[in-house]
Amino acid sequence: MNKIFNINSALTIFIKDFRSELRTRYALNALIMFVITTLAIILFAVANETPSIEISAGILWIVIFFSAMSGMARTFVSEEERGTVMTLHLIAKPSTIFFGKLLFNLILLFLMNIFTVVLYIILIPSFIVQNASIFILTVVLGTIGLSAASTIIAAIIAKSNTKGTLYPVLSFPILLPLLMIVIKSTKSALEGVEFAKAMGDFQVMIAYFVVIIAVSYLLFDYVWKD
Amino acid sequence: MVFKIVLGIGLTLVIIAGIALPMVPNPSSFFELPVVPGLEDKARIIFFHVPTAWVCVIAFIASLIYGIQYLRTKEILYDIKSVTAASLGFLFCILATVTGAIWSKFSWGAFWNWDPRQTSIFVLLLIYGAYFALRSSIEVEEKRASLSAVYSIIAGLTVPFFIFIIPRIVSSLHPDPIINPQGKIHMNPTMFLIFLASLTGFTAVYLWMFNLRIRFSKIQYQQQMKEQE
Amino acid sequence: MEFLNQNSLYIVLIITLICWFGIFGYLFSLDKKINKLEEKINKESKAVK
Repeated sequence: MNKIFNINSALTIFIKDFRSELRTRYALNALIMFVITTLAIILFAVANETPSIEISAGILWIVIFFSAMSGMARTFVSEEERGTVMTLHLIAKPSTIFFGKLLFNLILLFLMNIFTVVLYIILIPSFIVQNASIFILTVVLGTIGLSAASTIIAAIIAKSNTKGTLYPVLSFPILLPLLMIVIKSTKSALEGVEFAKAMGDFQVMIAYFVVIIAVSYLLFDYVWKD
Repeated sequence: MVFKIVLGIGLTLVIIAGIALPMVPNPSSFFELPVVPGLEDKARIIFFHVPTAWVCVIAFIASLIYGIQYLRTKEILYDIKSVTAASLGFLFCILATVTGAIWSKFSWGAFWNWDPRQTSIFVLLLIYGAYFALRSSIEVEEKRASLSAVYSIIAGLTVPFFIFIIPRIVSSLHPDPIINPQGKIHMNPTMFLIFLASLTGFTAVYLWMFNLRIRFSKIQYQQQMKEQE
Repeated sequence: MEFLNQNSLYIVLIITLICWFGIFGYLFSLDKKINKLEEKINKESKAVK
C-alpha cells in the first residue's frame, strides 16, 4: 500500500517534540500563565457586570485564539532557532514532518483548551453550559480546526523576520470562518439548543478542518523546501 | 489604443447615465430609472460600489492563480503578477469597504453593521493586509514568492467558506440591503444595462492598470538584472 | 445655495466626471511613457545585437 506518509516517523517526530517540551517545560509554563493572565484581565475588565451569553461565548474563543497564537508557533520556530532544520530536512519527508508537528500542536492545544475551558466555567459566572454535548463537541472540533490552521501558518512564518507579530495577523483571516461557527455553536450550547439543531454547525467545522488539513498537506512541500 | 479610447468614452457614458438619468416612479421610456422606495437617488451608488467589490474579488482570484503558476514553474514573472494583482485588489477592496460603509450609513443608519457581506469584504481587506505584511518580512526572493503563493492559496480557500457560511449565520443577523445584486432577477432593464456596463468598465480599468504595472515591473526587473551583470 | 440644492445631483455628476477624466488622463499618459521606454529598450537591445 502506498502510504502518503510514514506514520511511525510522524509519531517519532511527535514524541521527540513532546519529550523535549516535557523536559524543559518552557512553553507549558508560559502558556498556562498566559491563559491565567488573560482570564484575570477579562475578570478585571468585566468587574461586577455579568456579560451576556453572546459576549461570554465570544470572549472564551478570543482567549483560546490568542493562547493558540502564543503556543502553536513553537514547533517550527524553535527548530529554526536551534538550527535543527537541516537535520529534519534530511531524516524525513515533508509530509511526515507536517503530520508529526500537527499531532504535537493538536495535543498541546487540547490540553491548553481543556485548562482554559475549565477555568472559564469556574471564573465567569454567566457562562453556564446548558447543553454539554454540543459544547464538548464544539471544543473538540474547534481545537482540531484551530491546530490545523495554526500549524501550516506557523510553518509559513517560521521563515520570516517578524514571526511573533505576523502570526496572529496571518492566522486570523484563515481562522475567521472557524471562529464564527464555533462562537455560534458555543452560544447554542449556552442557550440549551437541542443537539440535532447544531448538526449543521458541526458539519461546517468538520468540513473546515478536512479542507485545511488536505490543503496544508499539499502545500507543505513548497513551504518546507528551500 | 482603440480599446482605451472606447473604455474612456464608455465609462464616461456610464457615469453620466448612472448619475444623471432621472428617477421616476413609473419609468415609461428607456431613459428613465425606477425609484427605489426609501433610497431614491442614493440608490445610484450601486453602479459604483458593486463593481469595486467585484474587481476586488477578481483581483484576488487572479493573484491566487498566478501564485499557483509560480509554485508550478518557479518563474519570477508569475510572482510579480501575483503581487500586482494583490495590490490592485487591495486598492479596490479599500474603495469597496468605504463606499459600502457610506451606503450602509444612509441605508441602515450606521457605518458598520456586521452584515455578512460587509464582514466578508472587510475580511478580504485583512487577508490582503496579511499578505503584504508577510511579503515585507521575507527578504529572500524565492522564499518570499513561494510563501506568498502558499498563503494566497490558503487564504483563497476561506473566501468561499464565507460565501457559504454566511447563508447559515444570516438568520441571526439583519437582512441584506434592499437592492441585493445576488438575488436580483428583476432589475429594471435600463438599470441592469448601466450596471453591467459599469461592471465591464471597472474590470477594463483594472486590466489596464494591471497591464501598465506589469510592463513597468518588467522594465524595472530588466534594469536590475543589467546592473547586476 | 438654492441653485446648488436644486441641482446637487448634477454637481455630483460634474465632480465624478472630473475625477474620472483625471484618472483616465493619468493612466493614458503613463501608458504613453511606458511605450516610449519599451521602444527605447528594444532599440538598445537591437543595437547591441
